[in-house]
Amino acid sequence: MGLWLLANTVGRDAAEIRVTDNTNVEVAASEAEGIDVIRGGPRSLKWTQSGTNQRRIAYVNKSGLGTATHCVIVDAALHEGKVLHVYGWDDYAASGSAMHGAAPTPLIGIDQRDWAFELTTSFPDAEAFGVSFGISDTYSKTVRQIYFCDGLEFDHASAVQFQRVPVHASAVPHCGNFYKIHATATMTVGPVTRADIDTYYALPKEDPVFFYDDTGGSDYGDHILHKLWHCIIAGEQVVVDYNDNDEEMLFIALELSILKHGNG
Amino acid sequence: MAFWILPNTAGAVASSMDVDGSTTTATYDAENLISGPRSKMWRCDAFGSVVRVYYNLPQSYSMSHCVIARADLMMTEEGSQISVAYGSGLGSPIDGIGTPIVAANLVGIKVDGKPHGQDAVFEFTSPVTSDVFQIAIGHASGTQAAMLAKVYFCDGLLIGNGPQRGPTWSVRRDGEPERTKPLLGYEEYAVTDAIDLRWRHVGREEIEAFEVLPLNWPVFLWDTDGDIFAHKLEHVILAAYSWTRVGEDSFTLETSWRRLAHYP
Repeated sequence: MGLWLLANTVGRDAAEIRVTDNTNVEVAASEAEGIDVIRGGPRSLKWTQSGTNQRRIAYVNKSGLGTATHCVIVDAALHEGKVLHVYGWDDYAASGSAMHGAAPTPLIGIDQRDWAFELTTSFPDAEAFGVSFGISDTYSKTVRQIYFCDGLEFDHASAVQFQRVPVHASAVPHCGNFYKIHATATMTVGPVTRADIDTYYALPKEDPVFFYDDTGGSDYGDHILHKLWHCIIAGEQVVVDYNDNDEEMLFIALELSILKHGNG
Repeated sequence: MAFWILPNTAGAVASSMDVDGSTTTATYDAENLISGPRSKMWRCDAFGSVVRVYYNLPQSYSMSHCVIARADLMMTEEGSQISVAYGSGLGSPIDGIGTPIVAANLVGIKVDGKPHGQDAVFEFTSPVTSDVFQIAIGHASGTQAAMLAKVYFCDGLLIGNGPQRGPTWSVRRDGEPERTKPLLGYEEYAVTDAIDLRWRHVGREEIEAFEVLPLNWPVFLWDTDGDIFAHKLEHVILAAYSWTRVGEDSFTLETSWRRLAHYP
């Protein structure tokens, strides 16, 4: 139990994003057009299915995607009450392992619109991860970002500060995109190991990331109040300290810009 | 002491407003009572006995206070009475000023050398739940018009033991208002003085309750004993807020407010 940094590691390593039916047969290219928006970027981006049939959306790389600990669906409120499955495939497109099999709940984050799921099956080096929508519900699926993440867990976060940004503030640039910001936050995580620092730097951070707090209750975290922050990392500093035994202690001081939510 | 944040809960969710007993003109619309600057008013034509203004809500809400801005405009020659009620038609009375409104009924800052404030606060003995809230304005004899700036029915928020004592208003020496937007709103307001208020040892649920207040509009700060504000009531917009986590369920909430321009 702790505070997880969730970047879209699977999205980064995927060779393609496939939209298929429930037997992994790819749909027409015209229907799948624009599905790349699920990989990252602002929350305003979305893909809408032209029909209402069941659809699977999967990140695929036959030479291996590594592992994943979590799946996060942005604006999962669009699927409130609808059953979905989270999938992992050691061998794509064999039958795969279905997880969850229920509506995305609880919804968390600013305005309680997102859903985070800790994968219940371990995949050391999967060929694909995906989500199946509309298993028992017929509706046109609108999908924003879907992250599969090999999470980095921190045991402690301190000096957590949250400052709301004016709703009329301009969007801020970050790695080629502009993002409307809900709030800024600062916090220090650690102590961490040098291996954690290396893992942190190796995570993809050009697209927004999530901080997911699996402590506390179903709708709040002990570290971060809203349980889930969808944010860009605006600044970071590794702080080195030493304890009384002259042992090294490492911390990461983070400056975050939490993305503005909305359902437009 | 009790220090309340009083938003216009009814105005934020109202499905419609009705005026019964008189007519309104287009330039003095009843919806002006919901939000906007203090210069924006509702006015009804001269009426014989009673005129009622209703907030119709889509479902039942609990209210703890009613605030009337520019109640001083009711200190007319004939004298006016105000009653606060819930329910449609004649409704069920909650509170009111049965005798003609006089200076002693008014709170808020004194403007232009007048010896009294401009607003009236009705603090309900216990919260009242209904889907219709109303005020009734009457007078003893003759006919006369009525005019008010705002009518707020509020689900008030008490945070801990109130803000730390001792903050002072930063007064604009030139006396000229400037135009600014609330932190969470898009409409500009003419504002004057500024004050910072800090609450310590605030619980998580209080932070969450604060964050969902309709703070895109002006609110009233009601200091029942005048410990913070000499005039007890302030009509303000939220300019900034931040919170810092200082313990497992303990936060410091820091806020900045701007006083709305008042007019004689």
